Amino acid sequence: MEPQKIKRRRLTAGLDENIALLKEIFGQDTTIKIRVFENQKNPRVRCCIVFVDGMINNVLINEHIIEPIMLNKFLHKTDHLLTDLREKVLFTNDIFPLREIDAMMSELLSGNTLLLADGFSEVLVLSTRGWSIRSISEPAAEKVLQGPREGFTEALIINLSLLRRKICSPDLQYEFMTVGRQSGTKIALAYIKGIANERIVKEMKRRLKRVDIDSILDTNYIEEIIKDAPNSPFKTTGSTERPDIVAAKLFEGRVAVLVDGTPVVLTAPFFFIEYFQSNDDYYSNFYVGTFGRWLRILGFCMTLSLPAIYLALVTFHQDLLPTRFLLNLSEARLGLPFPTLFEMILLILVFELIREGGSKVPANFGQTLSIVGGLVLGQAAVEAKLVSIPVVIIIAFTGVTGLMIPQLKSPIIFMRLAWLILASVLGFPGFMLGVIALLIHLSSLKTFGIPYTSSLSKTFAEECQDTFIRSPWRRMLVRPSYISPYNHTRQVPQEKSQDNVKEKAEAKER
Amino acid sequence: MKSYAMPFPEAEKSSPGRLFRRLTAVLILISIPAVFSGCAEVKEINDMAILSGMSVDVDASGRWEITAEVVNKTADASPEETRRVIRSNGSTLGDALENLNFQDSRQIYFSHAKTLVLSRYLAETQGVGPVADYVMRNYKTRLSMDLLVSDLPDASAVADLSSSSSGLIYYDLEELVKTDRQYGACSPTKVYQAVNLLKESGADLTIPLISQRDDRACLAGTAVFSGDRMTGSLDQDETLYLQLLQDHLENAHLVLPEENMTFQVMDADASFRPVVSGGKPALNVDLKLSCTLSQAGRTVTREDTETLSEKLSQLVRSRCGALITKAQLWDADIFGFGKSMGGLTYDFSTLPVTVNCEINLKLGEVHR
Amino acid sequence: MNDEQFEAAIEEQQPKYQEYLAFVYFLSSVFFLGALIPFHRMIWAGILMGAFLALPFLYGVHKLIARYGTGKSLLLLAGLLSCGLCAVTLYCLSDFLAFCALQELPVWFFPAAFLLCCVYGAVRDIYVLERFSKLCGPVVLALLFLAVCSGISKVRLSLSYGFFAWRDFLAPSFSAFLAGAVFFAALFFAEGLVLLTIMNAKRKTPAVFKDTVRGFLLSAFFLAAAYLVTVLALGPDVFEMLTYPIYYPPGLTGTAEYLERIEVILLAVFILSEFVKTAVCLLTIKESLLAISRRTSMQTQ
Repeated sequence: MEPQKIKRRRLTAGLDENIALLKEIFGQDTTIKIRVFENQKNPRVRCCIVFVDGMINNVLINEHIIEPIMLNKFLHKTDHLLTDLREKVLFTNDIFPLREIDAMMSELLSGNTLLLADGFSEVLVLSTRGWSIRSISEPAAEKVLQGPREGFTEALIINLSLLRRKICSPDLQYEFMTVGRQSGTKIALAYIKGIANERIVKEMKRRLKRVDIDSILDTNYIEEIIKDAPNSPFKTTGSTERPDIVAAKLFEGRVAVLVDGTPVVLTAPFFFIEYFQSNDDYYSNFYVGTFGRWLRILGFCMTLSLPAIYLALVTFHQDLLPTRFLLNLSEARLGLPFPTLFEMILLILVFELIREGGSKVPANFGQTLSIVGGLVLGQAAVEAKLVSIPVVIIIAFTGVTGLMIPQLKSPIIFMRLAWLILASVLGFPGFMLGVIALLIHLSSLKTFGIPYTSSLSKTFAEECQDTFIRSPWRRMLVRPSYISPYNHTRQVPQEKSQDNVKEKAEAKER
Repeated sequence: MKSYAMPFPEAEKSSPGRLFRRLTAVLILISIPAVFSGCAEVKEINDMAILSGMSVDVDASGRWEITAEVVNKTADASPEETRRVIRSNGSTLGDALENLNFQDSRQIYFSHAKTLVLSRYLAETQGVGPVADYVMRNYKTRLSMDLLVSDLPDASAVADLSSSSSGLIYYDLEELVKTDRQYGACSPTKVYQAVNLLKESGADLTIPLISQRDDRACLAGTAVFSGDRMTGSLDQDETLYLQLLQDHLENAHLVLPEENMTFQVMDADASFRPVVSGGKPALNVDLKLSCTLSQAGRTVTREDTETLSEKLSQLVRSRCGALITKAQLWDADIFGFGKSMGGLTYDFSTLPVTVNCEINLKLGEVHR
Repeated sequence: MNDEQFEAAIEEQQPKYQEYLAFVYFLSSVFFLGALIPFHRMIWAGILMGAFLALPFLYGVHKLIARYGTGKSLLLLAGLLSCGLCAVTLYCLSDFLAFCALQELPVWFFPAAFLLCCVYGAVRDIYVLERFSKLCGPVVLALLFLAVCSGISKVRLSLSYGFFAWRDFLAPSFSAFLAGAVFFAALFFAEGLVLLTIMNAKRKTPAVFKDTVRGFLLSAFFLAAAYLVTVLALGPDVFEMLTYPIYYPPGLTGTAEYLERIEVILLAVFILSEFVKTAVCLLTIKESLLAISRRTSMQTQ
C-alpha cells in the first residue's frame, strides 16, 4: 500500500478489521506475524500481537506478553483494559500507546511489538527488540596500542549506552530524530549541556531536519548532505567508531550524531588539526604523542609535495639540485623513453590501483598482490627501463606516507595530482601556487560557523596545547574557546586545587 | 537575532559563485591541451650535457678557445667514458661560448660548472675582466665558480689531466682548491669575489695557480694580478705567507729546517696599522701566531721555547717581508694594505712596511 | 552567553592576525625592485630609514581614518595605489622569474596563473587572508631566517672590508642613498595606506594600527638584515651590479656540505609574500570599485 494511503487510514475498534488492515498494508510479507489470542478466564478479552519475525525476542513475547494476558484471572473487557494491561499485566520495561498508523509501522519495523485489543482503536507498543547484533569489538581502522578497545556497533541503543558509560553525567543529552523517508532511520544528537555550544547544537538540528532523502544507511550520507562546503575534499565533520573519542570530543564542546545501523558516529565541528590527532597520542606519554603527531604532519606534507618538488627540480630547476645528486639522477634516467611527469603519473596510478585492489581482495590473495605489485611491477618496470629508480622510490615513499592518515585519502589524491601538474607546467613557482591555493581554501573553510584552521591560528598559548604538540595533561587546563565559550575550565591547576592548598596550609602549621 | 546558520548547500545559488566556477572550469579545459601539448618547454636531465668546468684560452691572433668537460655518465661506463671533452672557438669569448652548444647533441648546461681555468697568456694579456664580465651578465653561469690560472702551456691541457676521485677533472679541481685551502696552500677566488676586488680599490686580485704533477693536477701557487692583468706568480711557500697576511690562514705548518722541526699553526691573526713617520705614511703589519711543535728532530725542553719562538718569528718576518717586497715590485696590493691606509696618500710600491710577529709557542703533548 | 557575546568572543581572536598579514604584506616590497631601480649598497639602511620615515605619515592616515572613517575618496585613492602596486609587483615578479627561474616559459605564463591565484584569494574576505598569513607567516619568517643565516655563513669580511671604510660606505653617492631612503618611505607609505584602508573598511577593530606597525617593522628589519648580509656576502660592488642580488647568497656555495643551492627557499618566501600583497591590492581594488558603483547607482537614483 502506498505511504500516503497508509497515513490516511485509521484503526477501528474492531480487532478483525484492524487485522485485515494490517494484512492489507503488509501484503505478502511473511515476516510480519500476527498472533491472535484471548484470555482464558474471560474470552471477551481478545488481543492480537503484531511483530516482525527475527527482530524480536521470542522469550519476551511468549512469557511476558502472551502468557500474562492469557493466564490472568482478573482481566475484563472494560474501557480501561489497555491501561490495565499496561500498568498491571504486561512485563515489559517500555510500553506506550499510539494511534497513528505510520508511527505504528515505524515502531513495528524497528523491532517493537504492537498489541491490539478488541474494542480499542489504539495500540500499545511494547519494547521487544531482540535481533542479533555484532559484539563490541575494537574498530579495525582505529586500533590503539594502549587504551580502551571498545567500538560502536550497528545498534543505536548499544551505542548510546556505551557513550553513557563514558559520560556518567545528567548533562549528557540525547535528542532523537528520524531521517530517511523509506528507511526511517533513527538518529540521536548527543551533547553535554553546559559545555556544548548552543549555536552549534541548534545549527546541527536545523541541518538534520533539512535532510530529505529516501534512506540513510551510513553517517556519510548525512555528512555529505550537511557539509559546510560540499565541493571541498576536506571534511567539516569528524567520524569515528570509538566511544572514547566521541566522549573526548563531547567534553570539548562538540556535538555528536549517532545513526542507527552504522557504528560510525559524526562529530561537529571538525577542524583541520584533528586529522593529525590520534587517540594514541592521549593514551601514551606526551613525548611519544607529540612525536607521532609530527610524523603524521610530516607524512602529510611529504605525500603531497614530494612528487611535485622532485618534478619541479628535475625538469625546471636543475641548478638547484646538488651536483652529485644531479649526476646520479642523470645516470638513472639514461635511456628512458618517457618524461618524468608521465613516469610519476603512471606510478601513482599503479600504486592507487594496487591499494584499491588490496583493500578489496580477500586475505588469501594479499600476499600474491603484494608480490605482483611490489616486485613484478616495480622491479620489472625499472629493469625494462620504463621508469627510473628515483621515481619509484619517491612514489613508494609518497604512497606509504599517504596511508598514514586514511581520512585524508581523497584530498591527498586530488591535491597531489593537481600539484604535480602545476609543477610540471610552472616548476617550483607553480607548486607554490598550489600550496597557496590549498592554504587559502583551508583558511576560507568554516565548520559550523567556526574557521576550519582555528586551532592552527590560535595565539593564546593555553589553547595551543593540543595542536602541533600534545601537552602533558597537567597543562591542558582549558577547553578550546573557539568551539565553545562556555565552561572554559577543564581542570584546576594542581597548585591551586583545594586539596593542594589545604595540604600546604596543614604542612605549614606542622 | 543574528544567525550563524550556514546556507544549506543545495540552496546556495549565488550567481557570482556559479560564474566563478564556470570560469574555472573553462580555464581548466583550456589549460589541459596547453599542458599536454608540450607548449611548456621542459627539459629532462638526460637531455642536457652537464658541464663540469671549462678552460679559456686566447691565441696571439686574439681568437678565443674554450675547452670544456661534459659529464657522460652511464651505469656501466668506465672512468674514461664518464666524461667527454668538447672544444670550440670564436672571435670573442661570448662567440666561443655560444659555439660550444654546437659541439654536443644535447643542450649544454652551464649551471653546474664549478671551475673556470684561464691560461696564463690570457691572464697576462686580456686579463680576467672579459671572463668575469661574461659570467656576471649571464644567469646560466654561476657566480660561485672557482677561478684558476693554468701554469701549463695552455689552459686546455687541464682537460687532458687525469682525475683522482670523481672522474671529472674540473670537479676534482674544485675539491683540490677546497682541500688545499685548509692547509694554507691556496687562496681560492670565486668569480664574484674577483669582480669585487677588481671594482674596488685598496686590494688586488690573486687567483690560485694550477700545474701538473705526473698526469694529475696540483696547485702550484698563486697568480698575482695588478688591476685585472696578471703580473707575476707566487710559489706554494709564498702562498702560505700570503694567506697569513690576508688573515685567511686556517691550518698550516711552518718549518725550521736548521732545527729539523715542524710547527703547526693553530691560530693566526694579521692586522695593519698605518703610521706616519717623518711626514710619510708607513704601515706596520702585526702578526700573531699560535703554534704547536708537531715534530722535533731533537729533545726539546721548556727552556727552548723562547729560542724557538724567536727563530720562528724571524722566519715569518723575513718571509713576509720578502713577499711584500715582491708584491711592491709588481705594484700589486694583494694583501689589502690600501683598505687600512684610510685617507692617507701613498704609493704602494714605495710604502715602508714593517712586519712584527709575535709567536705563542706550545710544545705539544710531549715535553720535558 | 548570547549571540553578541559569542560573536565578540570570536572577534576577539581575530586582531592578532593583523601583524602577520602586515609582516608578509610588507616583506615583498623590495625583493624585485631591482628591475626598476638600481640598488645602492646602503639599501638596507635606506629600508630602515624609509620605514621610520613612513611611520608618522601612516599614523596620520590612521588618525584620519579613525576620525572620518574610510570614505569613498580614501577607498578610491587606495584603489588607484593598489592598481599601481599590483602592476609593479607583477611586472617585477615576472621579470625576476623569467630571468632567474623560469627562463624556458613564455613570460606571460606565470603572471597569468599567479594573477588567477591572487584573484582566488582576493574574492575571499580579509579574514581569510589574515588566517593565511598566520599560517604561512611563521614559515616565511623561518625560511627568511634560514636564508639570512646561510648568507651570513658566506660573508668574508676581508672581501667586504671596504664596506666598513667610511669613504666607501656610501659610494657611489650620498644623494643616491638619500633618494633611496625617500623612495622606500614613499613606497611603504603607499602600501601602508592601502593596507590600513582595506583593513579598516573590512573590520571594525580599533587595534589595527598597532599590530600593523609591529608587522611592518618586523618585515623592514628582516628585509634590512637580508640585504645587509647580501652586501657583505657578495661585496658592495657586485651587489650594485646585480639586478636581483638577494637571490644569490644562499646559492653561492654549499652549507655544511650537504645543503647546496638553497635559494629555492627564497623563491618560496618571494611568492608567498607577493601573493599576499597582490591579493590585498586586488581586494582593495574590488572594494573601491564597489564604492564607486554604489555612488554611481545612488546618483542615478
